[in-house]
Amino acid sequence: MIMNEPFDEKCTSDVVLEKIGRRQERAAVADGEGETVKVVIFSLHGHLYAFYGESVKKLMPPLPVYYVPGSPDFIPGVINVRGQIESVLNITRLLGLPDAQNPKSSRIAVAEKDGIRSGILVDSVEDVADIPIDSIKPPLGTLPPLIKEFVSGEFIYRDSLVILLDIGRLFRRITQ
Amino acid sequence: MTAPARRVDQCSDEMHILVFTVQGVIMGVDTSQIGEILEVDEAATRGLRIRPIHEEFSFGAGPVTYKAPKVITIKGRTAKGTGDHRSSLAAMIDRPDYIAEVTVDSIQGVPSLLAARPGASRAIWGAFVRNGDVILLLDLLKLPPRTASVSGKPRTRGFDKTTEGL
Repeated sequence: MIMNEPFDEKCTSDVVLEKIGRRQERAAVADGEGETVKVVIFSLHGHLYAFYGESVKKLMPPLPVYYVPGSPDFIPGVINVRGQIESVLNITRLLGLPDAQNPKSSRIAVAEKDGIRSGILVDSVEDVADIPIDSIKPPLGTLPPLIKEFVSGEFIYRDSLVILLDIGRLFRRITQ
Repeated sequence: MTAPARRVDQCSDEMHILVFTVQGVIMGVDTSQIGEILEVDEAATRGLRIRPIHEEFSFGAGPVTYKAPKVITIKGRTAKGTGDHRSSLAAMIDRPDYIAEVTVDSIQGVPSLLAARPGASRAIWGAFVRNGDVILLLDLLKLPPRTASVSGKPRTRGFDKTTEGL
């Protein structure tokens, strides 16, 4: 039987093997880079903080807050998020920080963890980023006690230190 | 403890809520809990035990101003053995506005962060949205019982009544 296909120098076995080898090298490099995790980076009183992205369901602009009588000062009230009534947590008051200086840049991060859901008021949202998991280090021991209670780690983002807060600990502090 | 299935099935799908505002907080009470709506003076004359709503919860710093106060008498069972005769109890509210027809499906529970707080009041039991506003639902029968017997006009401390709307 005679095959009529013309010979193609570009598709010799050596060339094909070289292509396969390069693909395998790229795959090895990707594996070596490690896993990443999504974080929502925001500011409070001029410093950067972050939540794990999996706990943040929505980012909202400021909304009218409806005061609930008997609430502590760090829960200003509830908001109407497209018909869903959510509580709002003023995290600066919980952490012992001054309130936002520029309310217009404030945002509400609707977060959910361990069956508790609430909006969390932040001064501004800086970024939503994927960061390598191994870039997250244990927190410095010099953090103020009120903040340290809720910190799960810290990392460097664009040359700035970001403190990673644990939403579950924030909510547990309020509900227990 | 869950309600017997039969009782739940017998609940209507719709409620009538008296909507009022105290110090900018929009609240509502199921009209089935309300006996009468009275002027403050008339309620005092009748010797009703008047409980201003702002004394049941913290409304933040500063005195609470009532612009158009009314007194609603509370229907309900008598708490045996406590002398808490709820039929003679009344709550003072402000600016009663309208009666809203609200379907049970449109009512939401108190958000989990608020409901799970230790010491959270059970009297504020839910909320609904009307015209974009959040209206808190108040159960008068879940107001904590008072040990002291108070009747007549509410005491003036922390209370400033204007003549508007009277």
